[in-house]
Amino acid sequence: MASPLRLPTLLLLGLLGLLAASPARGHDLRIEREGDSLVLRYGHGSPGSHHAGPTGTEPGFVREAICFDAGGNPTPVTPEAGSPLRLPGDCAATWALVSTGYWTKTPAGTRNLPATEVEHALSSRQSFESVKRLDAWTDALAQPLTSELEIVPLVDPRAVTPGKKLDVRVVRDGRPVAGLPVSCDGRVRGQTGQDGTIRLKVPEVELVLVQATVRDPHPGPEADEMVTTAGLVFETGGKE
Amino acid sequence: MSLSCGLLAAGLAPIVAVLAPSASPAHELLLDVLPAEALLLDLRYADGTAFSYEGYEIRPEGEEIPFQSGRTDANGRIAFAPGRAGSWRLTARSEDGHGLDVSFTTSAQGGDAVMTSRSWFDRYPRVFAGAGLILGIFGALQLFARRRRAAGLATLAVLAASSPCLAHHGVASLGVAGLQGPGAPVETSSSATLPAGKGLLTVKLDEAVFEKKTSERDDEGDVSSFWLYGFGWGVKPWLSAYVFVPYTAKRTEDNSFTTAGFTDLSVTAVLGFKLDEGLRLVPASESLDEQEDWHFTIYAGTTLPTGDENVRDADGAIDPGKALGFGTTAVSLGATVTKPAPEHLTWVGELSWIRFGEHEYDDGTRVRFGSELRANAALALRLATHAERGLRADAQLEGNFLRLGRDEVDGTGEAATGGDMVYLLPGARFYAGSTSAAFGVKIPIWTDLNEEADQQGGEGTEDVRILATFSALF
Repeated sequence: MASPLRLPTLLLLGLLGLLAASPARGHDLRIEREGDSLVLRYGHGSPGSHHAGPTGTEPGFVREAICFDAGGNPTPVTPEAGSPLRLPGDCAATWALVSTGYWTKTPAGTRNLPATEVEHALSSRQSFESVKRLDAWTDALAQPLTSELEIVPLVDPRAVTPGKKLDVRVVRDGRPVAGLPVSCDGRVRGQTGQDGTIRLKVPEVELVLVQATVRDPHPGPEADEMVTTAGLVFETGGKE
Repeated sequence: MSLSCGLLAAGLAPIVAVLAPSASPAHELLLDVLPAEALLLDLRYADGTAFSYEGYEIRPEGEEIPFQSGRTDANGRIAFAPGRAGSWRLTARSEDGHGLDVSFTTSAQGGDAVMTSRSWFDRYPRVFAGAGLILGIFGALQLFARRRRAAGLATLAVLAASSPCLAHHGVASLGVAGLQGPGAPVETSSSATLPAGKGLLTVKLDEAVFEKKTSERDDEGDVSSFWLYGFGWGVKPWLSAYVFVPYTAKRTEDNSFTTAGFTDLSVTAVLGFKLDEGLRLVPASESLDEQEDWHFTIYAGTTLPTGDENVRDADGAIDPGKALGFGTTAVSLGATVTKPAPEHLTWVGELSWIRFGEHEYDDGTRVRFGSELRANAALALRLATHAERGLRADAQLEGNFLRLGRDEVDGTGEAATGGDMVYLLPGARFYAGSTSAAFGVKIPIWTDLNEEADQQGGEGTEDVRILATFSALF
């Protein structure tokens, strides 16, 4: 039998126990430039994370994809099954909506099934994620491009030097959403104000990802809630 | 997702149960329930939700075969009892893609397993702060136990300790980012303003235990308790208003002259602004990125002569130092600056000045207490948070300089009053939702008092001051 713990050991354990918090990140849905085209990437981007979930190539993963020109005119893009979504590289803005379907927590782990199809469902959700990438800045692109949950920068985000602040507005159906948690580069930075805006420091990374998530009750028995995450992606570097 | 470590200390009896002792075939499985010590690995999402029922493996670093594998429990925890020192790699994942892959080490000292952080950056600032806190409290206890110098004078100026001290009794704002905002010291006012339309109720106790200069039980000042009840209101995001109602109790060693009661109430207005690509007023809501900007406040206040300044002793004499009011106003001005570091640290500075009016007491004596100049510097270090429960703990260290002017009686400087002093104040603050409580010990570490040998029972002559505050935002 082990000896009783001594006070210094307890103190040390207590102190060290407080230290081990590591940064945590949600799913990263990004549209990255690859040669002459843009590619939709899905996964976790943080070091130390371990992604073994959907890869973004599953059939039905991409629900909708749109290429916008500088005037905000949409051109739908059809995904190809079995490979990551590719979008034209000359789009002024690109947007994609994806879903990994239903996720149900059970005593045997989290299952990619509706709550109605598993035993001992503990909690469940239907997951939707969208991402918008901006490669230009015009009056049209400064407006919401869809009726979905969307993050709209108030100025050209590509022109904001890393370390400086960027104001963004979170909207849904074109209306501001207040009190919504917003993360930047995987870290929650606060909540939107009454006008749906939040002011963020642009991090020192090449590709910035801003995300906001809203939770709604699910209308059917398949899940407890619908979790919808919107992302905004842009390249930094003080571009004109 | 976060990974934290705690201690699982199981049972007392050496062997609690042996199951299935009946006739046993060769392949029967037996169970012993033994007390043991283990590390408890606590896996949570960033919002505090337990990473429950998910698969994991723990391998010795560099090896393929797991030492332990399975699923986290309903609380997202793993009990890990390696029984030896080593480097380990924990891999945990859920089917929807959440997970982590981290390395950690354990040491075995007398059977105790210790988990260490991978991050030196994370580790040392907090250890130093924790050690500083412990040493500070230890030092205070030593001072408290020490015995005493010689005789003393009156307790002038002690009353001033409960005058307009703002103390921004930091309250963790509710919300996802609230637990990561700037810290608030125990004594030094931070640069936080109250949210518009929100109120703050606060109470603070400052208990001063004075050093005695004689061994006899005489009329030396013994203990003074300064309670401060406050109500604040956010008029605008950048403008807060406060009303403070102090209650003071002063006791002499022989109880020959003890006074207690509500003293002069005070009102204060605080204007908050910040440096964010230029000076601007504090906005209605701020992200963590904005909270990391330089923040400033300027404040002004005054006491109102609501207390009884003509308290008399058993012989009918008035001692202004024991009074429950100044009989006149005392005007205060101050400024603060706050700069949170990106991760865990907040630095706060404060400069304030109080000038007392002259008052003629009922016995015809005219007294003006010496002005007070305070310069405070404080560090607050966020030690731990628990997002799910809305809890946060900070360690704090403050240095408080106070220059007390000489009191004037009938226009003449009073002997054995005033001087300079520096206090050290280690403390801690705990947040729970929209409430917070703070504790600290304030120790005079340097004094240069006027006629110091004759001063007793006033500021700079304490053994220790014990501070405690509680605040609630509503």
